[in-house]
Amino acid sequence: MHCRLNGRETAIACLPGTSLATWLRDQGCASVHKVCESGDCGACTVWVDGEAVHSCIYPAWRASDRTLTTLEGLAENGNLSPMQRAFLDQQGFQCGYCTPGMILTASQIDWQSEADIRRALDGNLCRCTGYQAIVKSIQRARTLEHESPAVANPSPGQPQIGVSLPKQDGPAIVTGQPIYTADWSPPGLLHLQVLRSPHPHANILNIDTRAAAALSGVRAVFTHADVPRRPYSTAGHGEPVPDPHDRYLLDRKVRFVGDRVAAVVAESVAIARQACELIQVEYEILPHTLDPLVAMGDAACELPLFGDVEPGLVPAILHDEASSFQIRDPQRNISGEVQLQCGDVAIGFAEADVILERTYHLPAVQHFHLEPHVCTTWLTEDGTLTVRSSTQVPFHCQRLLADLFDLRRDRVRVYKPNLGGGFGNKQEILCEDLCAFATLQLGEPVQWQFTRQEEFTATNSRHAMQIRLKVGAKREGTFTAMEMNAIANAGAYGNHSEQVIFLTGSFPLGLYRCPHQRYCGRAVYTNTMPAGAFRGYGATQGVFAMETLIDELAAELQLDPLELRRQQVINEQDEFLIGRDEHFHIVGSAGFDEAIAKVTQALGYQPHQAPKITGNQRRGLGFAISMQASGLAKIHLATVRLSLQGNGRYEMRAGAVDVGTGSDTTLRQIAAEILGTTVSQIDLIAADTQETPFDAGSYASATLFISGQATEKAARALRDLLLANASSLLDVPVAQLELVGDRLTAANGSSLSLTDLADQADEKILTVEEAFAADHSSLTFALLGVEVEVDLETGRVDVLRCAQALDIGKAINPRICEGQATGGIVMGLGYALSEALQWDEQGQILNPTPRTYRIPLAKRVPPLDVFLIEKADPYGPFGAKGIGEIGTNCAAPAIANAIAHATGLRLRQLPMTPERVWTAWQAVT
Amino acid sequence: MDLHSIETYLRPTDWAELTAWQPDWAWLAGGTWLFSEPQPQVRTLVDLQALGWSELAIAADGLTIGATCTMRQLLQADYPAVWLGIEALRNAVRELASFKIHNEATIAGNLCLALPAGTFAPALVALDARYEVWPHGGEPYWLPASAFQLGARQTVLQPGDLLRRIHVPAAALAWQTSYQRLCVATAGIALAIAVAAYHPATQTVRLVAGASFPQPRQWEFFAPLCREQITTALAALPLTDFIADAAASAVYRRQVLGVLLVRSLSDLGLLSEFEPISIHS
Ligand code: FES
Ligand code: FES
Repeated sequence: MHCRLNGRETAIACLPGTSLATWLRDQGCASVHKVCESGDCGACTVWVDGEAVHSCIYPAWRASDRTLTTLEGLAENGNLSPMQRAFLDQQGFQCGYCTPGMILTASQIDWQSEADIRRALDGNLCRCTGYQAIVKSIQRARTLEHESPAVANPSPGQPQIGVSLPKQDGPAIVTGQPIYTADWSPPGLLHLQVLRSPHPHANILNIDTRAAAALSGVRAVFTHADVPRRPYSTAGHGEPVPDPHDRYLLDRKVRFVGDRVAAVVAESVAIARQACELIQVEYEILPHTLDPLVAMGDAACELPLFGDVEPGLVPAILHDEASSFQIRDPQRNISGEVQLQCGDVAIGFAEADVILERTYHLPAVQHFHLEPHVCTTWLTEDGTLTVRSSTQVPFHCQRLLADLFDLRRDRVRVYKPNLGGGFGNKQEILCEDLCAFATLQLGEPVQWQFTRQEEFTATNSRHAMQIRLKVGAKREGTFTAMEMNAIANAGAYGNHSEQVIFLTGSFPLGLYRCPHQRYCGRAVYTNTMPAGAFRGYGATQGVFAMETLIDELAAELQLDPLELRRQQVINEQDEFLIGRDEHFHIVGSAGFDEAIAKVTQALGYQPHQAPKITGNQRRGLGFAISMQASGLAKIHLATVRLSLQGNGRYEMRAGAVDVGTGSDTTLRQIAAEILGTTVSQIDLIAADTQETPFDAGSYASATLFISGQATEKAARALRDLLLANASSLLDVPVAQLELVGDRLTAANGSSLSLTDLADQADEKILTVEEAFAADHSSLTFALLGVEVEVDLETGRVDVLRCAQALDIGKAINPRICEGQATGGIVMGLGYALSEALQWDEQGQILNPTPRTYRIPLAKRVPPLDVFLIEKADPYGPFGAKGIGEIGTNCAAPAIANAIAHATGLRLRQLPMTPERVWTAWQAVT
Repeated sequence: MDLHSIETYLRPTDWAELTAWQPDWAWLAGGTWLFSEPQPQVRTLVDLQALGWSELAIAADGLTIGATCTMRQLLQADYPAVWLGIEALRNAVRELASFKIHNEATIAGNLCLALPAGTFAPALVALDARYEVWPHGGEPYWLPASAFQLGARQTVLQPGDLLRRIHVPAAALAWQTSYQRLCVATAGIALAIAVAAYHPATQTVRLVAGASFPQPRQWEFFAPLCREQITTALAALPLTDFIADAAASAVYRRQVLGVLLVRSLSDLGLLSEFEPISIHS
């Protein structure tokens, strides 16, 4: 069998059940991305005889005698196709993992209107962009056919920040270069797969691995008997690790359907999978529980607002093993607890004219980053354990592996290539541990890549929560007391839970001026997939409760909901009271008045506006605000090393992790601004424990705020150093020297090129390294307004318009900021309307595929207006603040409030599916 | 995805070659479903493509759709202008998935899958289609579309049997149709599908429901109809007839089916506020 692949005659030789996607990847076509492998996401799109198909569901053998084109073959004679150029021009990507499929699909769409484009993208999922930049790219391709894009990069000396520079990895993304973790591996690669538990809770009595080990091509089978028993946490946090140490490489007990039972290392994924099926396990089934309230037993009713809950017996203790530690109360399955307080809520409620108390139910949802968890581990010649991984936290991963296997840290190298999205799920160390163990045992390179099913069933989710919130207010709208209790389902392991529930209370409560506040959050073990870090990190859940209740309160008090918020929200004059001893949050700037003006204008909103009613269709407007901190003060450390190289170019080494958002570009913009150069003159080496200095990693919206300030410090130090050197070489005072582009020029006209300077100075001397940890973490604020249409007959909700204003201090790269905002809104839209992991009574996830777990499609997303409010923040680099997470938080409450405006229905459970809306409507009619 | 258990890939060019059939064999038509889930029980794929059965024949007596005719072929062909009913089939394609799936997926394959939410079955039932089955080792026979699907993932086909072609009579293709569908999200697996087909000469209205029950259900009325007729017809069914699963309850499925049926009627201008005239069937 032969085919023509990207113009070359190629023989097809593979197993008969191989998909075309796999075969193409084996041929070196790294642009073919396998995401769902079920035909639902389009990331694997290629052309067969000129027609776009999903190669993951196309039999490789059927490609015989056909002409195949992958993204690698799209450019003709090195000239990018108009669609590729358009995606570059409009930056129709963030992480770029969906981009090859998008470009090959988009090139075949026949469209008249934007709606045509959005419909035609039914088979293409993107989790980063919110689709807006993709749609714009496709539109742009038409006008670009005959012109080339005008790339207006600023020259040296011109401002480098505040400019929408293209992401520097764009050309590699639109041409499908092998830039992601799985796109390269050392020769002789073995593959790891694990057998996962079919039971929610069981002891492993016996494992028979003989048949598996005997299968040809199997190199090793590991069970709990083969691995060191050492408790750890998968949460990627810095030292001292605050999280429960309750995980083991492989354990004698399984605690959720999908938990690891045994691992197989084999010569191919297929063999490893087959071997897993051959492992015989004898289980002792234990009672299990899926409900955190039940799991706590008699502790369930301890929280003030949960007093009505019937206390029961703890049905099953998940972590009764003696070796685990830092668990709050293992006997009652309480993994973590947070109590916060200011003032005295009893006094506050006594002063209130109106008190509302409500209960909210938030589901577990999945990140659905397109690139799965994947890592490759091997030993270098000197015996260094090397880990190439798709991780947000290379340095924390290095520390964990060193601790687990008693290695010196410098004997472990972890680095990440480009990431195809993470959203918090890669702030977890989920695959590197076993993979590294296998390599240490066998001395050979091993790769472990999760399937999409594993992503849905065996990684982490956003925490499902039940939140009870009580707010007291005076008639005129001042708040007298707020009390919130949250019970979070931690799942089978604790990891991030306690930190997550901290934010659930502290951000929503801290957002408003109120003298008496109390919060208690609990994270409770159950026999479900663990919950972990997810963009918004617990604040998302709390914001939903707070923002819908505030809206309800405004209606009760007959106040305009926006005006009420405007008056009560904290500003620069206020202190962030609740939880301040622990997190050092600060309001450096807040631009609410401007935000309100922009959003109301975009939506044409008037206070006390009536909903629009046409037959069974109702339209209404809703708003929500939220805040999120920029990184973790005192804890989050970032280091940057900057040098002038012999060739006159700069080299920047930063531990910071670009998860696909574009921080590799924005950090260089900061350095370029200070050094009077351009981004293209700065060579970046990033996120490699061996090659770059320490950085805590990409989480908590920290990269720009923290790593950005380290960059700023380093760039200033290098600039000073260069000026000082030039000053002595040219014999001119520093004050009379200017550094612009590749030259240092003195007021008297004499000058020195950077190459000459590098020549004359000792190279080591022209290197600086600066670290930064923030004393305070500045808060970013967001306001979102939406218009929805509700169909009362079916309960279907359509979002018609969205306008979001973000007070971000300063936009270093406005387009990248907008991308974060639109992507965040659309992720929130899914949370609001369609996403939820569902379990059956045995704890088995019922919808572990993108066909049954619905993330938003392009056609569901309305036009999104984003306004970046720039009010420089004194604590951030050039006044900038974090933006990675906040966009997600407002969507669900704004939509719920818009539904309330349209229909009077108050929905307190997510997602607001058509059935839930319809059922609520039945209850009132 | 890769089907790790497959050991053999057969590509017959003549039906006569297929004398044997084993329980671990599977027909491969478009492959868009087969390759979308693990198939641990399958060891041999029998690729139908080389049999040359992808015909889409437009003739005076109606439309014939071959076993491997793709959805794209159906969508893009030119049909006689009087075949208003084609719109229902076109909608069945459009509602199914991305155009890239249409390039490969077959209509017959979709019918054989017999998913309750299958988009074609209700349309073909509404259009009086008949299917030709080639049983393994037996004589070909025809049966009406309404008799083909027996339940969720269940058809009259026995192992080794094949759905060879679909025939839609020209008379039915002249009917006016309306196709309505609702999902939890904007796309995905439908909670309800309603197809209305109307024959002006006889005033007959055929309503077919998909996705609400394990297999399509149909009703016939005379036009015009009023809402109450739909409500009554649905209320007459036990609630347990409706699918209830993680995606939606039976009560809600019944509600949206009613709404979609009414919308399909109003789409065709057949909804009156008058009292019902008579219930036919
Ligand atoms: S459609 Fe092929 S990987 Fe998703
Ligand atoms: S850019 Fe589309 S998934 Fe990341």
